[in-house]
Amino acid sequence: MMKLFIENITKSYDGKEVLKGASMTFEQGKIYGLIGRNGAGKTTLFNCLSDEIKADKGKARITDAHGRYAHLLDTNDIGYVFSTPVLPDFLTGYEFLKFYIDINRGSRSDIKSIDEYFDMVQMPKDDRFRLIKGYSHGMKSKIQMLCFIIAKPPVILLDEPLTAFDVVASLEMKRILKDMKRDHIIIFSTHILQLATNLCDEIVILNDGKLSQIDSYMLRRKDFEERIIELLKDGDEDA
Amino acid sequence: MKMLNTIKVIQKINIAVRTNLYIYYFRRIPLIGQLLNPSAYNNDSLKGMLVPMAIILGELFNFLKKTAYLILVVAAPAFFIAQMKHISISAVDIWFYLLFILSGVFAPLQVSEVFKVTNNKVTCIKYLKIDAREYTHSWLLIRYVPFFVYFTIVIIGVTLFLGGRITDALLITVIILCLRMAGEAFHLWLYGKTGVILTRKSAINVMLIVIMLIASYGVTMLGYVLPVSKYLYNPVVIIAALICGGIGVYMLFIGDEKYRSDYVKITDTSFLLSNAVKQSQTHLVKQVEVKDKDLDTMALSEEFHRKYQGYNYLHAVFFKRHKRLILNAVYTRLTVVAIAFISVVIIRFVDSQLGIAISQNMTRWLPFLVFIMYFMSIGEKSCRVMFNNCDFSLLHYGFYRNRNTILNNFTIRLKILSKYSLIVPLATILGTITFSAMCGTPWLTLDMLAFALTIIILSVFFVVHHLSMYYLSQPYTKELKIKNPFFRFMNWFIYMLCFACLQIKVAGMVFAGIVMAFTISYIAVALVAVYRFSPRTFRLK
Repeated sequence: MMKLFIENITKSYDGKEVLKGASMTFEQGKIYGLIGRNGAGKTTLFNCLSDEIKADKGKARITDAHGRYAHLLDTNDIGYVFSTPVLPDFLTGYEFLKFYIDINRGSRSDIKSIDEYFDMVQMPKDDRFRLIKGYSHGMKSKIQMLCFIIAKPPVILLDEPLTAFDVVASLEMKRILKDMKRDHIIIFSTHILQLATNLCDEIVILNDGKLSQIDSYMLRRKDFEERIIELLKDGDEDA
Repeated sequence: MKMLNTIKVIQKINIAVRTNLYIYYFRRIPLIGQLLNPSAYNNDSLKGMLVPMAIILGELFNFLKKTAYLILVVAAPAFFIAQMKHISISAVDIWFYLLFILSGVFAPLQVSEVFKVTNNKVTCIKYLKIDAREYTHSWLLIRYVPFFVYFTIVIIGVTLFLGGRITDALLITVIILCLRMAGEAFHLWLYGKTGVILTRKSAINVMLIVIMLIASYGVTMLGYVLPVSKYLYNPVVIIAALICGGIGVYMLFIGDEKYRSDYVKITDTSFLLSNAVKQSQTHLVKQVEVKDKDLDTMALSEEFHRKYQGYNYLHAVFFKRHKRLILNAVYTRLTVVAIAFISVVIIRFVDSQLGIAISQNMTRWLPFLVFIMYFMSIGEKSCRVMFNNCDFSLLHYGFYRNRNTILNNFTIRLKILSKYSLIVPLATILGTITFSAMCGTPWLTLDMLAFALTIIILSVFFVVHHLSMYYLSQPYTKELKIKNPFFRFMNWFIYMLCFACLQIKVAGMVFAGIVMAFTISYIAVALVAVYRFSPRTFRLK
């Protein structure tokens, strides 16, 4: 089983320590919900993992499929879906997918046709040939989701991913994530606790710059939301 | 009492903003800035200590601003115009005339404290819900009381220095204040009648500035001035000024009740100075933005999709859709070359001797061409287009920051841009050879070969320079502002080298040889540096 080790990651902005030695182990086959208050550092953690920004200290390592030979996490190991999607506006959705499929063709053997991918996220036929410039937030998020569906990176990071989707697309996305989790480590940050209970196998809390995992049985408890809120409040007071 | 409280609130906010600014700028000083941590903004005792400094520095700055204006814009020109040979008017008379025209006639038309939008005004009226009328009255006092005091001090000082009388100085200051009050009231009245806010009409303002410059400095330099000091003691003038001022004050403080309903206009944030600055910054992005007409999605055929793959495909679509932005620059430069060619051909037919002389000396223009080609290069603009429309979004993705991808894309772009860049030099060479042949000047010479080779290499050199600097420093922010001192320095360095070429009198083989040696070495070093460092440097700011 593939494992991701986050080891003692620290990151400061302007003298303020946002991540204070965040450490955690994530396993393949699970969807992790990363929960934290506004400004807790969820996006910073994702940015450090995806090499968008450099962490001050610490590292992230990933093992092979058998949980051995951990190597430093590489940008190729990560698929990152941003909360505000950024895509090249001058391409159409179809052209972007063609380009993305082309560059992944060498490393993946199970690539489908462009239209099959669009069908997976229920993108209407006309919209596929429209410029991304005119896409809505939700449509851009769908394209971003397709990127990791195509590239199938071992680690998938999703920053508030489902908030831009309508109910139908959201349901479809959840189904896709559940289908994919077998081969991946999926971590997604969210404020929506209901989504976390609905979709996640594990909950990780980012509080006071540190990561802590809560017992998964809590997910099934009726007072899950109250307990999480208490934990977040406690952490805030401790800080 | 109520107004006094409002004045206190306004000043408190101003001082709080200023103390925060001191902390902000102190923290930006290299090395010692870090002594102050961000919690300093919350440190009441520190801020308490900064308050007297904020008040004193604020007033001192205000005083110096008025002094600088009166000395540099009014007194100094008056002094120097009076020294001109054909001018027989005294400096003090010119000083009073300029002061009256600039501060008494045009400033009231160009300045409106009532309609000026400031952060303080927006905070107080929009967010703190201070009554707009109450605020405007307080604001007028805050602005015009120091205005009168500082103007009086400086005007007396300058008048005495230029040999005038103290009473003249006092009288003109009072008249200016009256006219300023009348001006403020005029803006309010005009808005009430027509809905027009004069200070926000840029065309009218430009016109006023032109008329002001002619009526002040222009007229004075021709030797005509209105003898202002003669009229200062005229009772009619004094009474008229006081009536104007009185009506102005009445309208501003008692008569006009509409501030409350007009507060939306008074606090229109699009007229905030900081917003205007932001808007002017977006022009950089606008210059390189694609328009809908560039993005004809139907133009790409099935064959096109099949022909190109991966990054080649990305760039093929990119350059196809950015033709207007990149190739238009090439076409403009080609037009310049064509005009130059047609001009020398006409010269050849009108004056054949001159034509022949030109054709024999074509290759001597090489140093001049180096400088021209610096400006003709499409490299810098292409980099901005690529960053804004492609790299800014894709650099967010790990796959695009991959070492091999960065180097592969650099190579693709270098090839495409070099190809575009060769169009103009090739046209220049063709034009030069054709013209030489037309004049019967031998063109199959070593000189011509060196000339041709040099401009071809130069065109590639400028592309390599701009593209490699882009990859080695990625200097742009999202708004396309340049944030990298190394990038600025290198561009300045290359510009200075090209400028230095203009000073070279001797062209020919030696010059061509030096240019070729330098450019080839530079290209080699730049390419090695890109291949070595760009995977680390080509990132988002």
